[in-house]
Amino acid sequence: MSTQVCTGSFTNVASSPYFLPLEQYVTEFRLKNLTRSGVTVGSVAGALTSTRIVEAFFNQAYQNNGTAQIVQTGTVSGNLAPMNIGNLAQNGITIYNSFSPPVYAVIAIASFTQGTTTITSPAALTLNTTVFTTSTAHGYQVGDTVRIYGLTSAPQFSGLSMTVIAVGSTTTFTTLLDSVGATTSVGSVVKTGNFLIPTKSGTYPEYRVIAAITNTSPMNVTTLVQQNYAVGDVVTFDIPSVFGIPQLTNPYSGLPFQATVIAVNNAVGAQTISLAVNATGFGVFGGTNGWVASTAYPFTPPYMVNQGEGNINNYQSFGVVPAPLPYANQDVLSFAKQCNGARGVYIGAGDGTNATTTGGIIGATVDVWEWSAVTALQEFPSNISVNYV
Amino acid sequence: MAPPINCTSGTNGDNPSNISPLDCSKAVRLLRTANAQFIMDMIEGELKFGTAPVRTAFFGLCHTNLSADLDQMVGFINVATYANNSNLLMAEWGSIRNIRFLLSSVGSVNPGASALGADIYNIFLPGQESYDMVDLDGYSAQFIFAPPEIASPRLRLYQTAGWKMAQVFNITNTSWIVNLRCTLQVAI
Repeated sequence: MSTQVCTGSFTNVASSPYFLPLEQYVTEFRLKNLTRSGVTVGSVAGALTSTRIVEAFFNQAYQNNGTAQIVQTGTVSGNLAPMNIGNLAQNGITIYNSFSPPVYAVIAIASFTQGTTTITSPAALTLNTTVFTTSTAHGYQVGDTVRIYGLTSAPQFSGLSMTVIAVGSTTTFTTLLDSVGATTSVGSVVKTGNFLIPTKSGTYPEYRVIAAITNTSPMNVTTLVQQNYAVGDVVTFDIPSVFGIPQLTNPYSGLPFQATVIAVNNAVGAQTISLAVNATGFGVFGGTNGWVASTAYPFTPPYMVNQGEGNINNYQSFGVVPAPLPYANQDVLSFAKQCNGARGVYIGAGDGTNATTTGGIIGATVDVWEWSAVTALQEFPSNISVNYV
Repeated sequence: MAPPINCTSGTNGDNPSNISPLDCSKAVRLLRTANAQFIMDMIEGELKFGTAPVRTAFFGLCHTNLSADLDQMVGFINVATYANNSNLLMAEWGSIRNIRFLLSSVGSVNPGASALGADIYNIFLPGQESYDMVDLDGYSAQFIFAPPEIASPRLRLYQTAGWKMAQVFNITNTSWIVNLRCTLQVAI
């Protein structure tokens, strides 16, 4: 037997999970929080801190996904802190294979109501939202991807995947689904992943279902999940006629309606891009309510489809400055890059401690972490020869 | 990703519904309107009892769990009743409208993703040149087996097997490939 050890470092975003794409089979994974151990790395100053997780260990042969054996500092005294060891029950480490993703528990939806949220980029918009109430604690975090289904009184939303943009309580969560005018319903919801994690297809997000389209110039499109587009990307649309915006499909020429992305806000909760399209004369997406009524069920949801990449040389009329000249952003390759990381390690976020329910490895600070992944090569006993007589 | 279309003309009450002939026609219409070219030539009718001609066709690449639902469709032509079987593929199950279905046990499935929580089966319908493959010279898929004499020469206890590849597939035109999504009518 032999092993391979792969190491590296990363800097986390405060209070956000981190996905480390690793294609190899990971037997065990170790983490060290250098910053909270008092070690200065580059421009990030070390800050020895009391009651913070500074080490984590995970071996998928023995431990459940989402947990970790951790080492947490005690009270700092001078330039030293004692170390306490324990098991982190949630928001730990998950060895992720997007082709065989973890299966999460189904939670019952008791009802949903409508709400709104505002964003300022790429445009000042008020977006309709839906606040779901579950019958039991859901355990979701902002950024999780969930799929709702079995909504008996609102089947038009069933089967849609969407990003959790806010968690109001242990039994409520909010998404960018526009449910204005819909009848509340019981149903089911299941977590399918996180905005950081590739889907089973190897790309993420798998399909960008459109949540809203503005009749403006430029046209703004909001998606139920993060779209991960970049300026210069070219998209097409796959929108059934029941959504009432025939200008974005072209059934007569056979040529797809193409649009170039000129501004992006990919943050969870915004999930909106601007396209070099004047949509002021277009039909109203979804009609009166922003999403078709249950009478239209069943139908194909409206999708934005990644087509390729172009350039932004000719969109001065939309206020876009070509840069750099003369080719302007021709090589963003964002679609290709989205295919990376079908396997990897997902590191959960919480309050950075081993606390019950709120605990998690990554805390509310920006820290530098050193990681090491150990791969024990898989070798098998040789076949025993059978001599037939 | 291939643009998805939900089957909606089936009768199982789900979204997407089970596959129906009308859904097949809609998918073919979309591809032809986008000027996608068929993959397979027509099989002309012949003077053989119980056989039928087969239209020029796209391939439908899907999971073997769909075989029973395909058999249930009115107008489905099993490969046994093709007028000529000289160009059959091992995986081919039959045809309807302008689609010839190739089944695989590793066909694409999205578990529990339908409106009612059932598995969604993806039927990919590629037109000619809708996707391509790029590989480094001499680095397409390789299966590498090392017998005990090489993998553990001293005591010859272990052997290793693995694969490696340096190739990627790329959709060249998303208008020339469609993902027809459906659920099952005939339960497993």
